[in-house]
Amino acid sequence: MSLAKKLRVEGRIANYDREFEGAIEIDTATGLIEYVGPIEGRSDLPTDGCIIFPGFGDLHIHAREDVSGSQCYKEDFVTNSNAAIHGGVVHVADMPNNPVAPIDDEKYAAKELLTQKSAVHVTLYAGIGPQTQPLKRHVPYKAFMGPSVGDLFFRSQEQLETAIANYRGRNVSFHCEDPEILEANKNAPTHEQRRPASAEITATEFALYLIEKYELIGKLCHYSTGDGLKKISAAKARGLRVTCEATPHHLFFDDSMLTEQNRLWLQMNPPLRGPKDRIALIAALKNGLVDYIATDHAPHTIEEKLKGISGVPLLDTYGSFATWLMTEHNFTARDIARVCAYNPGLFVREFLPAGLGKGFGLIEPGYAGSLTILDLNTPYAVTRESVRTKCAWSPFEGYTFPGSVRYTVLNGNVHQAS
Amino acid sequence: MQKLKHIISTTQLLNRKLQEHLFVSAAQMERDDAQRTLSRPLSGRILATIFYEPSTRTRLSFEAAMQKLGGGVLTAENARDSSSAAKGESIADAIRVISGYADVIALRHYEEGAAKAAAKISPVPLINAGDGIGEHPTQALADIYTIEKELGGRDGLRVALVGDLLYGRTIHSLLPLLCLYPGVQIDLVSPAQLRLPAKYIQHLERQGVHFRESDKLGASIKSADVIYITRVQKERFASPQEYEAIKDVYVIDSKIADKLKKHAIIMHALPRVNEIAPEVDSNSRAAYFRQAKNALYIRMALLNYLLA
Repeated sequence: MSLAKKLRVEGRIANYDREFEGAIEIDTATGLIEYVGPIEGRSDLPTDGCIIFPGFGDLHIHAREDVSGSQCYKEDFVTNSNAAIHGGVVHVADMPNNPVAPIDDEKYAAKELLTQKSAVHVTLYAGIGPQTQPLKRHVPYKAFMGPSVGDLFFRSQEQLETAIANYRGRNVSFHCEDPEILEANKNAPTHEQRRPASAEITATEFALYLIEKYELIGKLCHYSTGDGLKKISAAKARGLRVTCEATPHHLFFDDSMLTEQNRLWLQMNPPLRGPKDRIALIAALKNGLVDYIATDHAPHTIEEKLKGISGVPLLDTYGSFATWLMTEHNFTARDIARVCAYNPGLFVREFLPAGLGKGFGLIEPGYAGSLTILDLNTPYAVTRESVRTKCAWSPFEGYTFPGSVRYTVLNGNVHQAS
Repeated sequence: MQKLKHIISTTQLLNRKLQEHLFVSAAQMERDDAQRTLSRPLSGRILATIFYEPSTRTRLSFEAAMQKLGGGVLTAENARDSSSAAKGESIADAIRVISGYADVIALRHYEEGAAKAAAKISPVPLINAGDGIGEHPTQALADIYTIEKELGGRDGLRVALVGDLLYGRTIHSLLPLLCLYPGVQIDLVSPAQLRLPAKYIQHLERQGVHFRESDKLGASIKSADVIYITRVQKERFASPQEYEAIKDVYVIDSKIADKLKKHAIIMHALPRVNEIAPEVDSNSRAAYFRQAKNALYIRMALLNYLLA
């Protein structure tokens, strides 16, 4: 560790609303950005060909670790943090579908203790199940509508509404797949047909109804269907407090790309949709209807994947995926700053502990001194050996992203990403 | 800093620590309200809203704030015509008597300086709910709270104040708070006859705030983070002809709204007449209804601060 009290980084800086040449000074004692000003030609880090972003935030990951430790063979908070840093992610929000699920204050606090090992800040969701009650603490919640991985799910809309009625005014994220439609299609031949688009669209309508009726601050997770997006757009226009995530896999892959070789590797919930859905999702991410890139990082071992378990690990490739959006889909640096940094920062702000200043998502004095520095000229060829997630594989293996993460800065501490 | 007894002018609210305290408190109240878990810290206390000038919205907002905190409300809606004022009673007497019944007073008056004069003799906390063309500090605080909430309280904000800057009391109250932001840039957009009064211009100059004046909105549309538009107030004009001539000089419609920066916000203290087309309401930049809701929570935070 350097003894210097300040880290100074100069270069091209992108906030969600402004892109400029400038200098950032981070006080390494407080870990906060102290100063943003003009370039003076004395940067502690080389940033040629790079864009300096506020540190990226991934609002949807499964780090797998809980007090039982029974899933730690897939991932834990340390390996998860390594994968995040590799992908340029400075804070994450971890889902509650653990064997010992954080559904009350005590279990939540116990899981929170485990996150201290993580170098990147971890916000924990608390789980909502048929029998749960809100915590005394102010935390974000997650409701799984239908069966996925774990036990926190509902069998019908009625059962879900009964539970949600206790969570009036809370911040609730929804996994939108209607359990009855999944049940009706469970014998269809492919994974994609067993979990059809109609399951997500019906569940979206119901989630929006619950958000409105119970004054929730709602978030729809890993959104995948073009037709559902129209409903979200209408709800936003009506003034509902609802935001929406999209994953790299739903933006990058669609069902037309499935082959017998990759089918098992690209199995996740919700599944890949058609090319039209994918194009609609990219457009919605660009125009602001979709608010966040959140990975749904879901590590499973290679053996498990070959058995047909759903979920893909994506933290390692978060930052390089952003460069793909810039090169392939003309996202501006400001667009990236919005969906990868600013909006995720807004989401977690009210849940952050003291000491992180104004929080994440902006390069401004008073905000956390965490940066993601993307190198737009150095491609990243994804290999199994290069990823740091414990499950040690990536759905992007063999693909070469146009750019890469050069540095991830965590509260003034520099981590070389590659 | 010493706890404030009365809230009369925005200049009392320039302390960042106090602002932060009130903003955190307002956010907490909003959360608790949505969760229906508000405690009733002001149970048994009474707010009197004495309005010598009609303002249904401000009055209801104060009364709702008090009731949500468990307190009671005494209300004099048209105090100018219906109370003893009509019989010639002085405001001083009215305050002395009402303060015997109420624990806090929200006063709206048609004369600038009325609130300050009333506070001098009021034994209970008095809140200025607008005094003529003077100030409206709770509105200004709610406006800053809205800007912080929506834009994160940034350095280098570009704020366009549009419309009636001469009589627009919300603007006058907001300016000193805006000046606290490092690097803030202010566009003053108004017809020549409704320019910002010289004393506020001088204040901006003294504070070294970067500002420009214009009678055209055009230049501000692409650069502004905040567009704050005011109603040209009919009641401030001597003749209807004068009012008619300039009432609709600035109108924000969808075409203009869509040209604003993606994250810019449109603010308005409401009520609006034609300044913002209804079609803009569904634009994500339209912050004015959220702004009105924020005012409720700010007033709750203030009442709680003054009384709890």
